[in-house]
Amino acid sequence: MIEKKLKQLGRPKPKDSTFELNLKKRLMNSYQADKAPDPKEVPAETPKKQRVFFLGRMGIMTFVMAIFCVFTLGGTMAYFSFPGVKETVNDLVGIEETGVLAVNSEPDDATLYINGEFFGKTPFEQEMPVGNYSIRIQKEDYEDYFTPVKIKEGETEKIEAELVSLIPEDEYEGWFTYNNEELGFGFRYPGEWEISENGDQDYVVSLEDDYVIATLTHQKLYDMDSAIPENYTQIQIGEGTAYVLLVDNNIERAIFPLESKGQYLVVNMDVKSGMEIPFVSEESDLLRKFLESVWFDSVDSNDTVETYKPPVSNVKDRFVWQRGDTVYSMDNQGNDMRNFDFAGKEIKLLSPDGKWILFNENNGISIIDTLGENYQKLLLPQSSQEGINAIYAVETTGWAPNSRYFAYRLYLFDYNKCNDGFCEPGRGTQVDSGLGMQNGYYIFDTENGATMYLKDSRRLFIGNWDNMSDRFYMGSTMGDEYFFLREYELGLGYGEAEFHDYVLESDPDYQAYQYDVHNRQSVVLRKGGMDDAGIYMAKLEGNEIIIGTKLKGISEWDEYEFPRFSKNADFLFFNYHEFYGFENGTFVKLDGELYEYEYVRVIEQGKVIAIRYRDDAGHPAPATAVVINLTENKIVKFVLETKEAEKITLPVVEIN
Amino acid sequence: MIKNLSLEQEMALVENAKKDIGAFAKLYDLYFPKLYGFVVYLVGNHEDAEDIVSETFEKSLSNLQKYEHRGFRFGSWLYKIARNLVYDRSKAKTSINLDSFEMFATDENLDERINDQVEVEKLGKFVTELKAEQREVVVLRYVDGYSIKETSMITGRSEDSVKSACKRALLNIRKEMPT
Repeated sequence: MIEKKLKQLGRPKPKDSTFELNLKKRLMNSYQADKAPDPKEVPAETPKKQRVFFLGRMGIMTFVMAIFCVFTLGGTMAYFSFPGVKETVNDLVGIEETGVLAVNSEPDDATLYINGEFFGKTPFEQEMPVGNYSIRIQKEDYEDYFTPVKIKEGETEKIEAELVSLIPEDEYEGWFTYNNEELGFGFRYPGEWEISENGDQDYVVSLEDDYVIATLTHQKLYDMDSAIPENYTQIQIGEGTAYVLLVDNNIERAIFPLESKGQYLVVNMDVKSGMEIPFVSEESDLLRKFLESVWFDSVDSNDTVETYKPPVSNVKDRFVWQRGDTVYSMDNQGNDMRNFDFAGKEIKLLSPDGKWILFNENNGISIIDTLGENYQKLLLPQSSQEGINAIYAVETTGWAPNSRYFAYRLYLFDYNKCNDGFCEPGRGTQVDSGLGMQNGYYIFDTENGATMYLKDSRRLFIGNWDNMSDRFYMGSTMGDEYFFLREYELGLGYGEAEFHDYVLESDPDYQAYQYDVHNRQSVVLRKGGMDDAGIYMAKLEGNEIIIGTKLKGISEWDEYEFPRFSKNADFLFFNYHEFYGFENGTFVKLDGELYEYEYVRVIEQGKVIAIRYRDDAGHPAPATAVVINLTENKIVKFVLETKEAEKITLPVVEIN
Repeated sequence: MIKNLSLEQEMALVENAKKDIGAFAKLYDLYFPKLYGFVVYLVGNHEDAEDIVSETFEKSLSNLQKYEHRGFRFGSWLYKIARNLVYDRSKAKTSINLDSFEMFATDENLDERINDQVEVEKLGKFVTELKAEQREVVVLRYVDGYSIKETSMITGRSEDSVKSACKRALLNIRKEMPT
């Protein structure tokens, strides 16, 4: 297995073997230089320094006195009476006075430094010259221990160092840890408790032992205050409040809600019948420990780029995004905030003017008018065939630039034959819609609710409007025939749209193409394949696609997918990595200059893009978006952390 | 070098490092070899790697007080800073060419850990020939053992994108090195 072998790859090491150590020293020194010295950490003066000091200032006097004392009758007395005299005399005649230094530490086996020099490991005992020393005791995972010590002649100086652990004491030793990364919560629990997970909807995990059943439930935007019955007693658990139902001072039930960013994790505990947990008891202490260990960080938090849903679209006039079950909409100057409850709905596409939100709901697609006083809901036509009550729409292909039409593709299913009552492509039974059509593309007109079918569109993909909203293009991307673009003419009434094909005959290897048509004279093609992969300009003439300039060579695999013209066709947009992802992106001015941004979301035929920044320290800053209005050369920065979007105008980019 | 710490131990160490540089030295010891290896794999030469690693640690030290634990290992933060520095330099085109590699030596312990060293060395060469975005994902996932989620956080790419980059990288390696 390649993966296994990759694990055996070594890590390159610095060429210069001193680099690691030197960098460390430099970092430590620069840090220390910034920091005022801590008096506790200033080492005591060394005996040598003291001696120099002594000799320097009082030495001459003492020396004279010492000589005098040794050679006179009072000398002996002076020798024993004055320590300075004794020390100096000993120095002169070579007698060294010593004491014993004994150092113990808890835990032992710590490294001992005396006056900054390594002396050994604890426990330590050694005869030392009298004098003052600075002691440092060091052990991994413990705080360094500093103390001054004075060694006196013939005496043993004992140091008993209680090292302070850097790792907090774990009162949960022997407990297990449960972490649910998907829903962003976790807790610790005693080994004897049984845990079982139930991923069904909100019901997340349950714990059980002899006397208590605890269940943890994840709830979004739920008003907890009204959910706690009045007869429950409040108790403080860590930084949270738990509510317990007491009967004869025994805990019967407990509710412990943890709030994070508008969502709740609720721990419900039920005492098994026949069991008693006195309110204050060892058992209740166990529950306290358990509850204190529960952590919860809502998955809709702004902690990572992925947990915050990026704007669904960045639009000509409005900017729309989703947090949790709420969709927010504002104009691209940060005004006119509106929000909609989108619980259970999945946003698919916005109209370029931000007026319409198109979403999946109940196996069908619906749209709402977000600007209406009472927003309007239009359901796409259901099948007329008896007994068939479900349509499932995939590929909501796109809005026309005028925001009036959108194109979508339908798969039709017999709801009753779908597995688990839920239809998705490849499951259930495909049926005739009663309109005599299946798997094709439709155009929906929001002004009158009428639908037009795009004839022979079943095997075509990447629907694309021209800039006038009156022609719709689809391409053959299957790669088993010459690539062609099919142009549907709208505005001829409702029913079936007529089409005209343009073929790329200079395509001998039947490559798949991605494309965007601004008009017949301005088409951009992205060619994959092994040869000449790149972005090309092209035009449509007669029955042909005629390839023109190569704008940029690309790699076959991934970069610069789905090229899109800006509204005025003076820019091209590309996404790195992923279509409709909030990924690194690029746009190219057609004069050939390249601009790259991180986290760009590219819109279809629009003029506005959004960017998410990271901060200097490298944390993602997912709640920040920047909208660039390319045609007006303006940048507007929105902070989407809260409902009340903050608007900052930045005169940043010189586009022209 | 100190052994790997649990997430909790590491958090405690980071909190301590905010007050005591001695604790940061431990984080440095823990992450220097990994981070250095990662950066060399990204930039392909020791000179740039030394600059990037120095700057990463300087930046992390000066921003340490602002560091918040967000459920990821401290190393993820260091890697992210380093990666951003690499890409900033690469974009500014000041020095780094992500497609140019010098040969480099790896751990001297390699012999003891593998049976077929020649094959692994070959593999190392193929890794250095991958495109930068695939290379970083392969190193993070397989050499450094980061999860998809952590890799996604470090690289700022979605988890799906990380998965597909891994897949493509493995495909490219397999093409060169049939098993």
